Amino acid sequence: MTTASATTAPAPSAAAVEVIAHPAGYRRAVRSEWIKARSLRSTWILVAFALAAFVGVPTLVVANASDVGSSSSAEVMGVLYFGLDFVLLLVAVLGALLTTSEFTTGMARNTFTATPGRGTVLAAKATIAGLFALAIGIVGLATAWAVNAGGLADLGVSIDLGDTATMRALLVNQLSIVVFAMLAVALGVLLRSSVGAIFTIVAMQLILPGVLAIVPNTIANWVGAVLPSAAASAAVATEPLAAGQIGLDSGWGLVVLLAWAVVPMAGALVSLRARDI
Amino acid sequence: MIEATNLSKKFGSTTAVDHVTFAVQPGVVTGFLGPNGAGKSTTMRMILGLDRPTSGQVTVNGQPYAKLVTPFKEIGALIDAKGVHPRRSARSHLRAMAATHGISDRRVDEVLELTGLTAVAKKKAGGYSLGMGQRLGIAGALLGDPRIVMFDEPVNGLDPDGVLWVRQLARRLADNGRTVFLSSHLMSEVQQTADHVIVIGRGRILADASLHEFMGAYARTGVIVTSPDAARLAELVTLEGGLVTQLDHRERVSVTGLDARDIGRIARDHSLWLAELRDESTSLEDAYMRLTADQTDYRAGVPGRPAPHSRRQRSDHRIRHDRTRAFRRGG
Repeated sequence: MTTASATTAPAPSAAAVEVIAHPAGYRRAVRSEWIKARSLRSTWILVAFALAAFVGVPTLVVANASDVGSSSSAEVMGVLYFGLDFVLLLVAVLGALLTTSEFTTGMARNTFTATPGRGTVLAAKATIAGLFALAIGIVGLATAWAVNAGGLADLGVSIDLGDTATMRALLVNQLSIVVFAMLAVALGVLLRSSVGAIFTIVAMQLILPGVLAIVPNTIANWVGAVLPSAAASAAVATEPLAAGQIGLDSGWGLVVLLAWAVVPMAGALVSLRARDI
Repeated sequence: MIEATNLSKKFGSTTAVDHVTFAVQPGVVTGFLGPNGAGKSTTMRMILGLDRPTSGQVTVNGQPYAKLVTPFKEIGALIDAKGVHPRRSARSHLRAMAATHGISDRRVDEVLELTGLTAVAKKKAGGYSLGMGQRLGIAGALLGDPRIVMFDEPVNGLDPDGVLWVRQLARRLADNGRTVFLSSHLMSEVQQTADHVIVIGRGRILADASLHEFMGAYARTGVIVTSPDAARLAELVTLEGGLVTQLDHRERVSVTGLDARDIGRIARDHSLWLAELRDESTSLEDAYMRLTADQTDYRAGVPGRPAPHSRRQRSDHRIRHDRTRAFRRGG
């Protein structure tokens, strides 16, 4: 026991000098969230899996491909994103856990006591999730490219960053990783349940697209066309839509993709402000 | 200082806190007493802005919690000892909390030392005992060296050493002019720590007084007398102005109006046998239980007894009753 019963009244918390504490705001909340994220092993396991998928899938494809014909630069860039579906799921799990773990463990009470601004905490969490998504995107792509540069050259194809469609594919795909992180953070706040948030994303990614595409119903087809992955695909498409084909053009694809980050996040903010912690 | 005005909280149709008004003063330890489910935790969560009041308001040092610029300087709270991510180490947890206020790692190590957690600081919080969790919660509450500390059931799960430590800490904080607000469902705990008590039951304030006033108002101060000659002694005591109440055993009575010294003298003068003569020391506990008896949702099935608030006590009462009956049959 460290509490010697002193005769003179000591500082209650035994602080030899005055404790310096600064106003709790966004910047410090971000720093706190960063410490929280990096002090959990699960964070790094998910990052490692995401990078492994990012690099591994295109490497397997390139190593086993014999002839890709005369592919455009944008299509070759697309090869580097063959692992994207897995990356998106893993980033979503990472983002969801950043928020749901707070509610499932009761840590949220500490978090919102330390930073009373609910929007401030949400912004800080979104920032950290976004930074992880960006980092995974950049490191993943750079590594996938570096590892496969030789293989692609052997197949007689190359990537030209000066090409508009190529650059568009790169930016939209990188953006989609960040969008999924935001979507997951927002779902985590809305549902406050890890299983709920992750299942929702899995459903949107893996279950609904297949189901909605085969249902012979226009509304269902449209719902399928505006799911986040479909919107991202539409945004990178180089060919215009065929007449009568249900789907988004590339401009709307980008708008809808961004909406998947913005709208759930706005909902999360409203919910977080309205509900008790 | 914490000030609640007409504070209410409803969860659906259930009223957890019902138009509560109170002030927690600096420089004293205020005990917040009530049976489980009385509204203590809900009130504390509203103080911290975690739960929104249905009506009324509560301020911390004159401001609603959400408006505090540097909350950790104003108030440090232990709300839920289990409210820590189980796979994060205690030190990382505290560093993350400290980072929200730019509080240094040195201070983190100080509060770890102060709460006796230094040796286990790198261990995952999920492996902590309830007592260690309480200490971690208290460490977090002390990070900003706050003017108010508020602990919800702080001695829950602590070993006797830890209980004593929390009492001493609360005392020292109050002696330093800080506001100390502790909740407990145990009168005995608050009795030993608090200067002031606020009693809550079914969401309403039942008493708000200094411990001294509370004892004066609610505690029966009497002398417990056990004597095989109880009947004769009772007559003599009554003659001298004492008021005698029969207790659970025919040989045991409670006397008010005369002190133990007088009763001892009467017994000696008339050569009566005293088996037991003592000041009633559990009277405050009884007073608290009487006060909250109607407020408890789960009563023990012993008629005429205040509702016990713990299983342990309930079984103790039963045991005593059974023994009495056995004694009667035997005699």
